[in-house]
Amino acid sequence: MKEKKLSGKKLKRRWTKNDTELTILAIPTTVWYVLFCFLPMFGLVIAFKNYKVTGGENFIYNVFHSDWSGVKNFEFLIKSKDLYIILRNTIVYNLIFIVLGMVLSVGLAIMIDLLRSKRKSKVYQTLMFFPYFMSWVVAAYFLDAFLNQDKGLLNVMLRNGGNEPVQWYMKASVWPFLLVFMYLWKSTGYNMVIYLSSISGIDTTLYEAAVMDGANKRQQVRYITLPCLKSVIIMMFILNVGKVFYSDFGLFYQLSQGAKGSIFNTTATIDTFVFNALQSSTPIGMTSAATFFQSVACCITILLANWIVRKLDADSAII
Amino acid sequence: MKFKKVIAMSMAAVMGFGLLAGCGSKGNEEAGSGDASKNKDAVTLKWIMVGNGMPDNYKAWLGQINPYLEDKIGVNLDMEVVPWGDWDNRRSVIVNSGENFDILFTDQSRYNSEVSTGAFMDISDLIKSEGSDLYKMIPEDYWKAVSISDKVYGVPTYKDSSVTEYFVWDNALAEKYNVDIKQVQDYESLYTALKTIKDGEGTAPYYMSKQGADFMVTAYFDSLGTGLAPLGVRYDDDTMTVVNPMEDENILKDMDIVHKMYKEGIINGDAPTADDANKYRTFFTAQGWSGAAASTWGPNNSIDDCVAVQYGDTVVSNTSVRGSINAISSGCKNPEKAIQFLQLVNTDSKVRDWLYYGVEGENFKYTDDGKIDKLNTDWSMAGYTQGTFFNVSQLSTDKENQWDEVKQLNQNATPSVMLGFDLDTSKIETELANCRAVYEKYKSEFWTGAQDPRELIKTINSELEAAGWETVRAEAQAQVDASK
Repeated sequence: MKEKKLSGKKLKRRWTKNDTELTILAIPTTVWYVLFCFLPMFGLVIAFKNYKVTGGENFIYNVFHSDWSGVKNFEFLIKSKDLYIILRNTIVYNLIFIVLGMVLSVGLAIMIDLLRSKRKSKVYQTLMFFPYFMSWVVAAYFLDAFLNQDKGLLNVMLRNGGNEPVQWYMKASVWPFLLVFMYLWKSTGYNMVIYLSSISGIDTTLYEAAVMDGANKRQQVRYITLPCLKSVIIMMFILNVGKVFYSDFGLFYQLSQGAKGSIFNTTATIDTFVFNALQSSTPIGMTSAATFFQSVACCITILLANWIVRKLDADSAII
Repeated sequence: MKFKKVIAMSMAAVMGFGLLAGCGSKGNEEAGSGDASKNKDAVTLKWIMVGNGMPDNYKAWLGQINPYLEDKIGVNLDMEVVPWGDWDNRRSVIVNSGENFDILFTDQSRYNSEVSTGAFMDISDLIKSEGSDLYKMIPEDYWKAVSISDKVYGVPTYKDSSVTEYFVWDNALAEKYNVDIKQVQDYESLYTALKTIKDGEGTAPYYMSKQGADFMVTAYFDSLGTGLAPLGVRYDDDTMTVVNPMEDENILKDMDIVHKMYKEGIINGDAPTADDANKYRTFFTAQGWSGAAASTWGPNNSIDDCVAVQYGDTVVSNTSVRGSINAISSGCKNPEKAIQFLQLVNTDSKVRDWLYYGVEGENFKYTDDGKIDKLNTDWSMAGYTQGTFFNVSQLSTDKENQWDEVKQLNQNATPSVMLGFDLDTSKIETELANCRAVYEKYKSEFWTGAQDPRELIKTINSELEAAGWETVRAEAQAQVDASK
């Protein structure tokens, strides 16, 4: 293993056929990023403008010819009493997602890897991966089939049992559990595959040596699998921490049918707040300001997380 | 190294193309439409409106209307019909991105903010010179209602522009339970009537979507063009006091009954999250005219025998007139043609019928006495967004002229005390945005009666207070007083 690493480092100095192939492979992604991530970024300037439309001119002209408004657009977000709630929700949900998501998918990956029957492990893997392909919009309809006030399965069961039906879409206390459950339901399978592939990349001779020394399965996992997974886990951790100010819009908006009313306090995040504001006649300068704030906060957290990891273990940092 | 250069070059090329694609689209469109028209001088107008999406026989329809328009005023039409579900988002994009359009349908919820963004053209003078017939046809009050700072930015649709609220019933079912629907004109008697039906049928007779009963505000209050329901002046309040309509005792009293109906299952339980969908309803409320029961509401909700009973007064206000406006883009290259076109829509019965009923021979045909036989219901455009009702031909099935009824309603409507007034929101934009966010949060649970309105209004009020509602009110009151 060590030899491979060294030779890899040496090769990097010269451009090889491999590099050409890889670069060509990367071109579509790069183009996508440039078109949809870097070019639109200039639109952030709207957050500092009092956006006005000039007749017959295009969007770019309009942006540049609108008056500067300083940080006035940010007042909307900062003065909002909901800022605390949406920040708290966004961050806390993400932290729960990161921790639970990691524990669950690493655990499942190890368990599936330990399965003797390869066919069964493939079946489980596929089944768990499946929800990842489902759109949140579709998932929201499924959830509605369970939670609907009149016709939902749960309420029908409650009513048949002689109990009072529950207004799930207005019951704030159940939503934290529901959202976490739905997130895990959808993402665990996908994350598991990432860990599974790095587990299968672990040198089998390590395990053979461990068996020779009399290590049982639990010891193998503890002393070989987990240490080898460490760098992947840390990388995933940094990537996820970078998104703590970003919330999965589909998850928070579609499932909760708009994240409004009684359940606002436990379901609203920055993204749903911005979307709801944009749908009313709130000027786009203010909504851009909210997303600008979100992006900057995300950038800071990702750098911070990386910095902490670098302090702890320099090899695992990604930037 | 050489390869890196190639990469860099291709990257630059890609970025360049991206920019060009963004800027160049307008040029392409114009070139494309130029080819389509036979007459070089004909101007193509792009009209964006709302409906159920593009009709299937749109091409055939264009082939019918365009030669006529070209002949009359030298105009070709290019329509985009945006589905209802996409309308809010699509409209934000159209207005904010400076997309190319000539005429855009708009309404009270956005008109004011779209004008202040600069999307629409000031047509105060143009309408008098290019559209004098149109200007004369529409009453002075209506022009007043769509003007902002004494300037007109759009052509109001002259139709059922006064607010009249109706209780709409499936008559067959009402008769089955011996409900005398003519007597049901307030929420108290409505409760008793619907309770009987609910007990008999077992299902919720009053289907509500998440909009709930929010028309109660528009029926009694003028929201000063802010689009914010918890701010308004009562139509008949001569002192012109700016209040929060949601804590008005009359509205709360009705909402108490709505809440009771919700709790007892007379209103569907999923109302706070339900989308508005065309489905069968035993009972619903609507704004319009009673003739619409037979011609529109019944067919749309698959009720054979549909009857509407008026309750409350008829009022004409800024909000009611602004329910349907066609505004001209501030970037419109041929505003004279656009005005002439809108004038034709509103004065030429033939153009109006094509817009309203679709392709002659495919969707409808004229009877011998000049009435309309609908051949099918495929034509999916929203008739009320286009132009006046009063030159639409009558359906052959109508017993009496339903448009006369609408005219009657309009004439008898009481004008709101705030007619023609618009709030200048530039100083209070931040507070207003926060108040809107609070209202957005609670409106569906409030208006569907899902929560006790008197409890919920306390929460709403305290949050509005924190969002700066008092600042908004004070500013609004100052401006109202200054306008007296």
